[in-house]
Amino acid sequence: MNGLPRNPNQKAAGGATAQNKASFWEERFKISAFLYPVPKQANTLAYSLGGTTFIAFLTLVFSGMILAQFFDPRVETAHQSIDYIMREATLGWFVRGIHYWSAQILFVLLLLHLTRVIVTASYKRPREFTYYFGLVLFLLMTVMVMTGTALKWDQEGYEALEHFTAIGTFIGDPTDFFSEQFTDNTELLTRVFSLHTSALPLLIVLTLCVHIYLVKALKISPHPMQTEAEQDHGEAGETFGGHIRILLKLGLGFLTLVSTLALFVAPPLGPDPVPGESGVKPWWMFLWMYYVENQVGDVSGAVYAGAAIGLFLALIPLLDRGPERNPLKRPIMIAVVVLYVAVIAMSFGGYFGEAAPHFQE
Amino acid sequence: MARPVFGKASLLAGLALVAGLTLAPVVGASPPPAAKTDSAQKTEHGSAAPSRDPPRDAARQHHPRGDLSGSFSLNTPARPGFWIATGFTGLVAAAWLITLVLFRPGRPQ
Repeated sequence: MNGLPRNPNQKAAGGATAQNKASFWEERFKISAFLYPVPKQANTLAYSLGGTTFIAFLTLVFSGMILAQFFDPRVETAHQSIDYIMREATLGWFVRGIHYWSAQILFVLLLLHLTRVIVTASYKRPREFTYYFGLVLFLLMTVMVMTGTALKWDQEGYEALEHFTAIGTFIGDPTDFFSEQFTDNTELLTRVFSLHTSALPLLIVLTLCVHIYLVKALKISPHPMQTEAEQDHGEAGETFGGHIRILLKLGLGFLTLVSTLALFVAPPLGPDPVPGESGVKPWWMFLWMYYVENQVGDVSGAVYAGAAIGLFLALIPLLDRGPERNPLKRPIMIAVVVLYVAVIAMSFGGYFGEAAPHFQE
Repeated sequence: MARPVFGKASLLAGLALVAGLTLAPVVGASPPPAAKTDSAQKTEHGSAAPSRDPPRDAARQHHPRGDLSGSFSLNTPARPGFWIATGFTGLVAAAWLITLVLFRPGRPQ
């Protein structure tokens, strides 16, 4: 080192080093490309829920990759291997706890994100397909929860798999994909594991890529009190760099929460299932469907109820097409509030109601 | 001047929590590895058959109309790697606290 600064304008050698380092990364990774201007509302908690959900998904992927090393997805060994993870494998109980609690919180984040999108009318033209790809992600995440529940292969898992079979029969699946009849070679539980760890994550990632691309290409939707023309495009000085800082805070907050929960509270694992037995209540996000099932008496209730709500959510962008974004001035919000109240009421009905058998053999 | 997000008391409480969680593995007595029961034998695929504790066996005896779905339980230091998990949680909490301080509103970035 000859002691001469590379940049004649640079007074301190330390400053020159720091600047050289910064320019090294900038030259190779173009980090400044992330510092594009964004509207002011983009850097708020409400508009960061999607990114936080993504962080939760990544946590699930990494913890799931570790769990998969110890899990044996055959009917005769699946429950035993979860038991092994919880009792014998070093930190297995902690990783399973992180996986379990991440799934719970991810679903809460998904619901909050969907609610924010509906309240702020972010589905309006030209962002209808951003919304639809988001709905597909919601559906895929729901199937992920269902398949994940089945894998632990206790009574709850057994009944989750029974629902797969019953839904397949009810919708008249000609391939029998959701039944043991599909192939003699591989058990349904093993195929569900395959879905949970390969096909579904891949579909989620692909759908997510399109969803994120559309958010970037069409830009963040306007604040609900503004029209498309009125919204600022970074004049307030906010950049995507600020959004990344918020996501860092929320992401580490999320990790702290799931780690703390995983550290202290072990997720439930019931005893081995008894074929033909039923009467276990599902996770909280399915309780409203469980309530409808109880009223109807079989799985068709859950299928119709799920399809009805899915159809309503899909129709929202078609029914609410005007320029108004203020939630207090949009009639569709009355239907949305009624729907939320009904789902919450049915969930309570499912939670406090008697556990009823849905499958009799 | 921007109003600080954290008062001194809350910041100290957060730091104490983080320090407690992070240092717990150092000061905590390492529990002896859980003794394996006779049933913990290797299978042909290399995974050990689980050793089931008395409460689980009791639940199984009451099966099928007993505790079908299982229930939440509190973890104890007897879990393998409990103190490592405690330290990990402390480090994550520390990182979170640092981002909260570094990226607080009003601070020049």
